[in-house]
Amino acid sequence: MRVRRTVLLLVATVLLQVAVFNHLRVDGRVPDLGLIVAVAIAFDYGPESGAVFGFFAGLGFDFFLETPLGLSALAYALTAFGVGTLQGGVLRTPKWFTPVIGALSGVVGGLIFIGVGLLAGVEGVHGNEAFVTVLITSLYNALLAPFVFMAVGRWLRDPHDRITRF
Amino acid sequence: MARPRTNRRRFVLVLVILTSLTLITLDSRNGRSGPLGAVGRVAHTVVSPVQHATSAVANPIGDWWSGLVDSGRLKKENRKLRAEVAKLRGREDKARIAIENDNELRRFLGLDLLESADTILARVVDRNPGNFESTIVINRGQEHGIQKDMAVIAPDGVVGHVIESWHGGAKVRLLTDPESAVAVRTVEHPATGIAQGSSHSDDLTVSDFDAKAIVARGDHVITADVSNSVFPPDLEVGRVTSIKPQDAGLGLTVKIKPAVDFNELDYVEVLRWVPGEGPVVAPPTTTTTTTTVPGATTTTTTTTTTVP
Repeated sequence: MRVRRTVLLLVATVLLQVAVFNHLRVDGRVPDLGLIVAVAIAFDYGPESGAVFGFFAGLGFDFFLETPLGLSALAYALTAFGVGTLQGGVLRTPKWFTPVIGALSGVVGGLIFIGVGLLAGVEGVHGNEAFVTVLITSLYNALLAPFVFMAVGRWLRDPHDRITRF
Repeated sequence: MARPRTNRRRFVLVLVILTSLTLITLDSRNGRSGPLGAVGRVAHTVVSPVQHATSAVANPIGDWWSGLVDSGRLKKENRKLRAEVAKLRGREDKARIAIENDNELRRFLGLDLLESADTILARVVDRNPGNFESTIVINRGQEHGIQKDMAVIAPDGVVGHVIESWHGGAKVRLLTDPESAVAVRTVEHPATGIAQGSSHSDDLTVSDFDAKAIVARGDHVITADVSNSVFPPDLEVGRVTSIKPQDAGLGLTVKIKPAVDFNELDYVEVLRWVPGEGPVVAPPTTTTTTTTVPGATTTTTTTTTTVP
């Protein structure tokens, strides 16, 4: 049941990212919905779950991009894994923490995307504009994060088992 | 107890990194031509109806929102455009005569005629879903004969070229995409160079104009006649907005404002033009109808041109 819900969440995330959020741009930029959902899962269910979800969400998104396949997958997976690992050391999370996590994961994910993209020879990640894009996207992620965290938490909530098995 | 969990965590991390890096390497080397490309085309075909549906809903809302926010600017723009239409009507006759003369000369010289290339009208249903590219998705694809590398134009000028097509749609790389490069020349004092796009910029940059080239602000820039270019020659690209000499007098860096407003594109035309070969004219199909009436037999042969 949990796996089915996670797969449905994955499909919905990719569809929303490619068909809905590209109409909802802020200064020409779209948010990293897949990244925020992966981070939310890492936050609630541990770094492995977040990394696996981030990998598939990024891969699904990559099929619609011109950047190399696997680039978003790597950026999302590593960021979710990092957030999940760090979250393990935090006992209580205040309310303001969610937007901050959204913004920080946007920065980290964006920088991984730019760094690996530069090594892979992606033209679009050259120059200062790429960093401006990361900044704007991170702020957009921060705005979305509280809603996404809440939605993911409710959708995957299970009173018996809090660990997602893939 | 903690050791197996840590090992599992490391295993997942290493697996994800290695798989991602393998995919990036394979994709960078081979492109999307193999099985990965096939999966991508299937994904596009599956998502196309959803994109069409969301576009149908989102576009009117977006237009309404723009109208609400920009009503003052739209009225002003409307007045300006009316004046421009009146002025352009006066120039239309002169332009038609010039085109006829040009076509006659081209026929005489045995050059390809752009007018003889078929076009396929398509609606823009989506924009690039990512942040580091400039592409659009159109609602016509393989079923209309749209192939990779076909040039895409709008009434104002060049839009870009097709980079991928599937059943029910195609992806077009805009001139402003960082990976886009188009051979251009200025009309007033012909100088040839390569115009490239850049991330989140509406302008094109030509950085290889000769240092002695005579280029001025406002000069018209059109596609150059270069062999194997995906763009036919003489299509409007834009106008020069700035000229800057490069260090050590190596050349000129010129900025071009594209003639097409890529944010306002609703419909585009795909040119059935093959690089290096010229216009593609669809093969005629012949239909023979035999009608038998008492005392006489009539045979009608109809030759029609259809898009495969």
